[in-house]
Amino acid sequence: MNESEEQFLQKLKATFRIEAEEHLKALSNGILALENGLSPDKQPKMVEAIYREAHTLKGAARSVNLKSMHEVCQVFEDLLALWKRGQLKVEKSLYDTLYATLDFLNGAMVKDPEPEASVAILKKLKQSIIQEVKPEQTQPEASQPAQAQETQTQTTSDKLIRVSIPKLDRLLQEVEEMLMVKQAAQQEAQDLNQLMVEITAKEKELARLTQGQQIHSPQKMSDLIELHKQIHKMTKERLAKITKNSNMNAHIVEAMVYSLLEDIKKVLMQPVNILFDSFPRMVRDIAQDLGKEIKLEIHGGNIEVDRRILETLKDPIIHIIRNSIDHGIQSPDERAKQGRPRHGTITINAEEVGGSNVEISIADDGTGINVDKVKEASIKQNLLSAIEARDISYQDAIKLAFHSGVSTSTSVTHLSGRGLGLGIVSEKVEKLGGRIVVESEPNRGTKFRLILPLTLATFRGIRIQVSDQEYIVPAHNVINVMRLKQEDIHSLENCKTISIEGHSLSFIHLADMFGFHRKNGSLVALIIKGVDKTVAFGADGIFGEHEVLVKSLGSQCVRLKNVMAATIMESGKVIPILNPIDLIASTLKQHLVAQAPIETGKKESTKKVILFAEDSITTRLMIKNILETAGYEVKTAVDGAEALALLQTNKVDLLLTDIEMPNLDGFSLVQKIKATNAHKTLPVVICSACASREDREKGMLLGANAYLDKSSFTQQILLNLIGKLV
Amino acid sequence: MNPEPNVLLKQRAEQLAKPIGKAEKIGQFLEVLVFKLAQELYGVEMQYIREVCPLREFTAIPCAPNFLFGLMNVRSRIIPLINLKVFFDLPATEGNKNSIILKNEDREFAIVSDELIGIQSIPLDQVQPSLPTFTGIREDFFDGVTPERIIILSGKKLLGSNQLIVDETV
Repeated sequence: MNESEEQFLQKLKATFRIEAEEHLKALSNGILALENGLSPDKQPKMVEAIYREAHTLKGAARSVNLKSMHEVCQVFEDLLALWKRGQLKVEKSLYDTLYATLDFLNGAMVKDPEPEASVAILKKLKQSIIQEVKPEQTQPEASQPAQAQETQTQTTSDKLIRVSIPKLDRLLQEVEEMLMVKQAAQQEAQDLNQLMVEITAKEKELARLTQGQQIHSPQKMSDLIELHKQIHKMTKERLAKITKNSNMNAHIVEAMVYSLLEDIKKVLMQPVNILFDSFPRMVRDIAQDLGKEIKLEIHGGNIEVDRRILETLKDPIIHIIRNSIDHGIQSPDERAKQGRPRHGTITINAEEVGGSNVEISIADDGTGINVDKVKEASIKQNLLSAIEARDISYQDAIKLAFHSGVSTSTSVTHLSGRGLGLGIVSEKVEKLGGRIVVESEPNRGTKFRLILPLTLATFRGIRIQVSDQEYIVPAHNVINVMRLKQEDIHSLENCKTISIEGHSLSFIHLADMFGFHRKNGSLVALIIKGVDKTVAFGADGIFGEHEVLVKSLGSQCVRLKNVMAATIMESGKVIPILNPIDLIASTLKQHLVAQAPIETGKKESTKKVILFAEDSITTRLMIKNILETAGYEVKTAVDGAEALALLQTNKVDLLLTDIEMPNLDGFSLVQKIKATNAHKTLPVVICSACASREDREKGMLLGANAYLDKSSFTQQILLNLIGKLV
Repeated sequence: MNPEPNVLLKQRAEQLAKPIGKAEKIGQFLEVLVFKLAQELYGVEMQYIREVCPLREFTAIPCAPNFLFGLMNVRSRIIPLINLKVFFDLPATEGNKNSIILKNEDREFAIVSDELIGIQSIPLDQVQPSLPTFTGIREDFFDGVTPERIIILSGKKLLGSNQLIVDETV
């Protein structure tokens, strides 16, 4: 080992000690809580938590070559794993062993332990396992390390951050400087009050002079004028002084607040490496698990990005990496057959783009996304028809992989293939104000490009007016802003378009989209870019670009259509920040509605309302999507009880219901509805996987108009049937 | 200090410390804020109310569900305003003068009211737990009704309800 490597290892060890201290502290707190009799419902969670701590500690110890510590952690973890699965008899002696282990680890962290000590502790731990596992002998689970990995990555993002003391000192100093501003503000208020008092006194004097009588004498007149002059002079002098101070203070405050904000942001900035550091091990583990050979290359890890962005990115990136290893990169033998190196390569790269953005790309040299499989899966999910599938472009087809429920994997493994992943990935990236681009070439590989802002706190937005409301549009999604005349808008196949530099763009006025009255007068177009689509949106006015503070809408508004957050203007007014990705998705939907043959009226109020009761969220979303695309308004309920409640407050034209649901099942729901006067004639369609004849007959007897078998129905059958009934 | 004022003060303190009226049953009273929605009277237990403020300026949100009345700014925090009239089949009135902010550890929102009546102590035994017509959404939010026909809304149920959460995708 040469000198610099030695130095590096020392540095690593120092970092490790800080980390290990935290893990050991959490472990000891957890074990203490368990020993002190935690309530039974909290116990599994706690055991799970300390198991994860031990697991992480083990990994960390290995990475800094602390062999004996690693060995002890391994056995420690095995014991906790049994405990986690409820296969460990817990008694007093166990806790003694656990504490002894913690003491050992605490010591080992600082100084390499004597070999005897580590042998002794290992023996103790193993005894605890053998002795206490007896009641229920089980075979070790093969997939356990991978599972552990999964739970770990989901929960490690606790709300802690490590901040260097100089950074904090600097902040304290800046806040202390603000005390001066506080005094200045007090002084100013005092000066103004004093002035007010003096003016009031002079006014009283004036009043005394003019009291009750007409002013005749010239002497009195001149006294009066003199007094007025005095008041004027005094007020002016004093005000000039106060104004001067006040202006100066305003400057100081501005500078202070700005530098404080900047420094606070810096506290939240961390090198991307914090995120990347855990990847090599994870990749190794997954690759080993799946029998693949992977080389991981990481570049650009020292770019600093807002910690909150890094935290949110962790899961999406891990997901993409898993996908690459699981589906992208072939097995070593397969690769060899194709004349390529046995090991696949995954390259993770971070680089700053355009000054305020960072692009993180994850590329593999695997098979690329199999577009045919994506299409097939999408057709199955009714996301597109066979004809559409034939004509769809490669890029658009890849985009389909982002829909929930679309998975190209023929088998669902514990790592991936459930089809929810990429959808969640893109949602998380969008939430951060970023976008995601996928490039894939058959047999060359796939590259995911995540383009994100460096910081979250400030955010540039364009303030626009629609009808008499104001909105903010994120500036990084706006490519261009232009004034339009009415005659610039053309109709193309029933859709409005405008042309820019020879290209046609779909145009939709935001007032139309939001159901507002358009203002007469100026018309502006904002060219907004989403993931890979660009649409021109009309607005009634534009106020320019601002730096806005993004405010969360709180836990009550988890997600709004077309609105991603809000900001508060200096006037105190709340202004919604529009979500460009949603806006574009809404346009596409409206276009589909316009094309749908069933409804010609565009107005919301003429839409037929379908109430859909179904307990599975996937089915609910899928059917809702189909129906909405066909121009219906859809209300959904998670069970019969909610459906009943919704029926009482909403006008509904048709009920579509599943049979098996919690609280109130479909049969009882239909029975209840048919028993009320208000809904006696409401058309009811039962849509269920219970397709036995008895069920069908029971449904029809209760008064359902139709019974659809979930396993065999198609979008067309459903739409035809509903078309007939409403 | 001479002893006389001391004696006087002590007497006063004792007087003040005495419970008022039937206050030995204090635990059996509900402290509720009574307010009006359209023509109906509703009450919410004080313990769930963080503050009450006049509804001056708020921002309506496009494409939002109809129960989301808008967003308002309360000391630089954004609070969603919820219109309960939508749930109780009440006519949309022009009132909407006040907002009552409800809060627990993880949720916070304001309900829009037409008129504030005031804080009342209602003996618990006078609250009739339920009426047969309290079904569906009423059952979900109502705790009972008083002889003066004040409907007691459950702060706990309102704050815990998923029906009041907005979670929509395009």
